[in-house]
Amino acid sequence: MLAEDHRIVRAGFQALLAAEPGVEVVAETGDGAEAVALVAEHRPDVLVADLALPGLDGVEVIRRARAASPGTAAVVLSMHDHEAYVARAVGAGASAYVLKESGPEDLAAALRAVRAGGRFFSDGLADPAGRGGSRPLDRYDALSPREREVVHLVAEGLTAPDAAERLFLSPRTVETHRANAMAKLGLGSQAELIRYVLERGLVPPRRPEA
Amino acid sequence: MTDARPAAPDDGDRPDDGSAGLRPAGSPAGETEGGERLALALRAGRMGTWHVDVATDRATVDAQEAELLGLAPGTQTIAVADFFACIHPDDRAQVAEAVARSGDRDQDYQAEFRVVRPDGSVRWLSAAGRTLRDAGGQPATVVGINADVTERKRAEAELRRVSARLVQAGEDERRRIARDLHDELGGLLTSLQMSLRMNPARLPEARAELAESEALVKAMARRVRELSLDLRPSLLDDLGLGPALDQLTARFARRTGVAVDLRCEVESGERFAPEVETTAYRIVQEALTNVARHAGADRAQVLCHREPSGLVVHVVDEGHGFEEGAGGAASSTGLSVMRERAALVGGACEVVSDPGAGTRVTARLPLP
Repeated sequence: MLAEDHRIVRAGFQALLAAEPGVEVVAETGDGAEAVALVAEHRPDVLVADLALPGLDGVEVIRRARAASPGTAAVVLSMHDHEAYVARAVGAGASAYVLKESGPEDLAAALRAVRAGGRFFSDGLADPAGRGGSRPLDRYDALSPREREVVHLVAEGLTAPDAAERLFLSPRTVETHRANAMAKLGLGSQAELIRYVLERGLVPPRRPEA
Repeated sequence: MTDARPAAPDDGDRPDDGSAGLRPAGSPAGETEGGERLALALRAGRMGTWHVDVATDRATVDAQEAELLGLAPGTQTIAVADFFACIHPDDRAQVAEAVARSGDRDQDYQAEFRVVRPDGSVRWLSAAGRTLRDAGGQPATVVGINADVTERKRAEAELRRVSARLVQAGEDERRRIARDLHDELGGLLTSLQMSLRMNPARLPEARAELAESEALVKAMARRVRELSLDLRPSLLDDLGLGPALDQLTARFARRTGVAVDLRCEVESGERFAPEVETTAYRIVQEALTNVARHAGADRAQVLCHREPSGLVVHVVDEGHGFEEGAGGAASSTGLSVMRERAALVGGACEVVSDPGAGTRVTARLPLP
């Protein structure tokens, strides 16, 4: 079953699908809400849906269609190539994501893949399920090597001029690096910076001066 | 004016406070030609004068000042506490702080605050004052002026509203054109590409020409998509700041060769007010453009995280940097546009640069 609002594209895809062995287009529509109703009525093996449908957003169409007919696999047709769109479609239950620009071959390949119980993503797109989720970012990684040096020296108790002399930089440049590092770490004061460095075990606690 | 801090014992000698030319408030100002001019200038500027005797903690006001504060006509002196009672309750702390700060640092005191007159009307006053010390260095008198700046404040607020509307209208228009380009034109081009693809079977002799046409249409579709993204990416409206920044930085890196490290600590799917998302996006866009144009850096960082104060976005490079206030890049319209856009949503944008360390643009945008 095919849901796509551009008539020529729909006709093109229909001709293409009809030419695939073992494929029969049981219904087609250009409207989102109607697509859900048609899926519930026909319970097709596969729903091919554009993401931008009038009446009801394509992602919502897939969500509702899959709820109405869990046996129906969903293939997305889209002009959007950002992974966030892919993730959203897959989250709604799509098992394939085909970029319109990659043409009919991808659609045919996607159809074969989902009928065999598999998944398909056009070139350049990754299966969001294959990525191990986003791990939390460590803000310390955002610091440049220079900023790390400055942070360490300042946390060890050096003044900006002392740190500047050690690093062969101007005091103002050291000051800027320190301010940039604090901004990146989201720290508001020198005391917070020192606490951060100590808590992270980045420098040993200060020894009493000999 | 001064707050009611304990005054040092006065030796009783009124110091020569240098304000002789500035006829003390409360005394008739029309006695001399100079006084006449001053009176005219004060009236034309909607200004009143006052001085506070620190020892008695009382303020002497001229007729114009009494009118500004909404005091009964003929009032010549009031207790400092009564002056504070005229100030809008929300502004009192700020005025007291400005007074204290100027006393501590021995700087002129400046403040803008609202007064509530007895009839309930609210006026904006701008104040400037100076502490004069006695021979022993102790504060003896504070002299100052207040000017009615209500009209300016209204005009500024109106300007901000108009400016915000203008920015909003620009974004709406971009959004509309970008959508039309992407969905309508892009859709039509896809259809065209499709029909070209369908026909070779029926027109074998035109196969080569059709393939060429298809390649042209494909290139055109791609160009249309790029144009649409340049105007305003639909991602920003559909999926929010995180994905939009991801797309922006990836495209920027491809186009300029400047590697971008994007560290967005915003939950995927987390949405903010549309005007905050748009502002953050546009500031990052402008800052990256500056990196490509001026910094000479081969990498840049874009960081985005939430703080209690709101959304914070940094764009950092370790390129050439520039001397702040040195004109050139520092005063370029790009930087002022970023500041203005941040201000329109109640935020602030700071640009820190140093020739040895590069440039950091930080925008802090409050979240409702």
